[in-house]
Amino acid sequence: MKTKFNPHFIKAALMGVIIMFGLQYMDFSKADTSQNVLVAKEILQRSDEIRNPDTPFSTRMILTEYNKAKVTDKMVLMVHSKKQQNNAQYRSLVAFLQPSRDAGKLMLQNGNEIWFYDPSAKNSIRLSAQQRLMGQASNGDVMTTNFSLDYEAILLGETVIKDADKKSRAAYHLHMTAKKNNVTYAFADFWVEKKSYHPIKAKFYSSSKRLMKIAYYRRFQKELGEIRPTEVLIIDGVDTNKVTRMKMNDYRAITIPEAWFQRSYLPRFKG
Amino acid sequence: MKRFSITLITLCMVLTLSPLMVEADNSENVDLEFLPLLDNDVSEDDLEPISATEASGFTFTLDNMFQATDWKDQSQLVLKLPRVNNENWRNLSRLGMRGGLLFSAGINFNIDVLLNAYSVQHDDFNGSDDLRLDLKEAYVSWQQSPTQFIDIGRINIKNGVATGLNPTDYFKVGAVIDHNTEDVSQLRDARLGTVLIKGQKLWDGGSLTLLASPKMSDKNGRWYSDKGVIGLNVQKSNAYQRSMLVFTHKLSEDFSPEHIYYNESGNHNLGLNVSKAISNQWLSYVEWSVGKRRNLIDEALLKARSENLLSPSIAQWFPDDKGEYYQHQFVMGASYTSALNITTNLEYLYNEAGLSKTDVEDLFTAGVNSQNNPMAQGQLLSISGLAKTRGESFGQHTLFLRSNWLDAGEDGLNLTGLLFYDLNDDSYLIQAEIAYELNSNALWSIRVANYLGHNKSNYGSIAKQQTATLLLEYSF
Repeated sequence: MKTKFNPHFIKAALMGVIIMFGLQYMDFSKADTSQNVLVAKEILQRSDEIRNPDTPFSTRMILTEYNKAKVTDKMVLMVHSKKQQNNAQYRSLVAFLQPSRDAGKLMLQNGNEIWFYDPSAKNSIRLSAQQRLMGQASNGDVMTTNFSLDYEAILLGETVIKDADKKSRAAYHLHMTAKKNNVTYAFADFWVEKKSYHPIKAKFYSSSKRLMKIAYYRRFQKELGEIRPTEVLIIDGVDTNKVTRMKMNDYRAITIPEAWFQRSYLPRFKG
Repeated sequence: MKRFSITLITLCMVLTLSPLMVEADNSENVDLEFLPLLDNDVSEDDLEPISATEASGFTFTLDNMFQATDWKDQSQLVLKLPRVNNENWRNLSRLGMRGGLLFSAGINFNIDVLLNAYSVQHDDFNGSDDLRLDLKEAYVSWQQSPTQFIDIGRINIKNGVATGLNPTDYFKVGAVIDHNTEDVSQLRDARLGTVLIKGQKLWDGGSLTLLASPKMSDKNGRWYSDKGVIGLNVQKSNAYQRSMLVFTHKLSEDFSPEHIYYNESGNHNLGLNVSKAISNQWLSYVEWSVGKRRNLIDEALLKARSENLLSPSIAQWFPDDKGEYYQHQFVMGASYTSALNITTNLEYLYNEAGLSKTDVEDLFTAGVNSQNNPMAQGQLLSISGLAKTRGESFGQHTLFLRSNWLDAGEDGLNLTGLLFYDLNDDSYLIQAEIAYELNSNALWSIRVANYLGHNKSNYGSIAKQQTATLLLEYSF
């Protein structure tokens, strides 16, 4: 039997094609409508609250470096961090506890003012932001950066992504662009779990769009009143054989006087 | 047709919605392949309280430094003294202990000591001469409040933002224990503290530090100076009465100048340290000092002049003592760090108290005219010796370049090169170092320094042609 031609179905089908293909090829990265930006900012802020405690805190950070899956180095740091009142940026005092050769070394980061103190030389040296990125300690950046403050974000869409434990998670996919030149990474992609705002994964890029680091957040547990990631796995974007595992434990809410975030205090900081 | 339309719509939905809603971002999951040990749990040792600092509060360092020297041909040198010991090598073994003890009520005790054992070619080991315990630091610190501190004892005080030489590092003069490198960043580790009392007050964005240091001795051969293994060497650290006031204040984000007032035996000095980030890679800095003092030549010849022992061949070229007057020193510099982790510092150093081009010419003319007069040669050599003791440049205009590559192609491999270029006479000093961290406790390094230039120049007149230093270090 010959099927009767029905123009309504054709019209509906074509409409469907237009809408669906329109959706597919809509470039969310350019859809920086105020609505999109607001949603993205909200997601970023909620995720920031989970990544970093709002109150001044200290945590012990154990950094284990792997090269081709073999442990090559290990470092233990004590990090004291506090959000600045006027701009909500985190400032940090980092004490090197291990290895013995580095014990007592200190680093202060107060915005773009970075000082490194060596107890054997009893001397503080100013570092550039690029110098801070050297070595394992630089991975602390991935933890204490206030993304919502440093980056303009847009929501690229919703997706399902595997976390570090290879479990699928429904997530928001954000693309972030640094607001200022002095932000460590110019661009980033960030995946945040939809239901909990837990960070799942981030990819950080240089201004030339070169992939610098890939971070996976895992081992979520309650610390200072919030379920937070206590471990971050960081893959070197240039040499993917190099992976750093950053474990945080012994979170404590502490009082940190404002006066401590300056070069003059460094020789006195005991970690 | 209806079925065709429904199929078409369904197909379109599958095609279009799939990238948005299902696990379609497979390229992202590829990154998981780079992760090691994900199937294993965290080993328990990661969770141990494992800081050496936390456990004992002390860090120990054991190192051995072997230095070989290649000397220039004596006959080619304009300034020379008869060599006492024609040694071509020397060795220094050291055991260091650094740390602190925390007592109650915010009081802690800090100590940094170094036991040195020297051995030199053609010289038998003698315990009283070749063993020395340096008490680099020993002081009690009292934290009155989280922002107020008082320290008393022997303390290392260091100032300055520059990398090559530091005009505002006033307490460096005479304090270096062993001058076995030309890299000031390494010399800072080999220096005696000064006996002093220090008070410090911090506030949000600023600090004020006041310290006073008494004159204890300027004589040798005493138990409190250089006599015996445990001579305190206070003649190196406390030969003058000194005081200092340091004020820092944050003027804007990323800009906190350090202002210094320093008084030495009644002579006033002012210092300033400023640094500013230009970008993520670039830093700029300026270090400036002005103070009342003699120039290098007059200060070095002061004793000879006062005792009427100044050689006539020198007096002919340097007849008058210009006395003390305000003289400037400054360093302007910038550093750049590349994506490969190479940090390069370039600095211009001006030292008004140093030798001008004419001074250098006169100095070597006096040297040529006093070839058979060891006393005159000694007096002339004391000028460069004083520059070294004071930690300042010999000439008035110097360029400094230092480049440091961390993890140079391999983790733990660090390369450093530096150059001092005397703009007066085109002589230069270069030093290159390879250091390799064997593990988190041990490292070795090889350092080679060359002193180059014609024989009537600053670096060309140095008796050493080249030194090579092998260092092995173990920390625990």
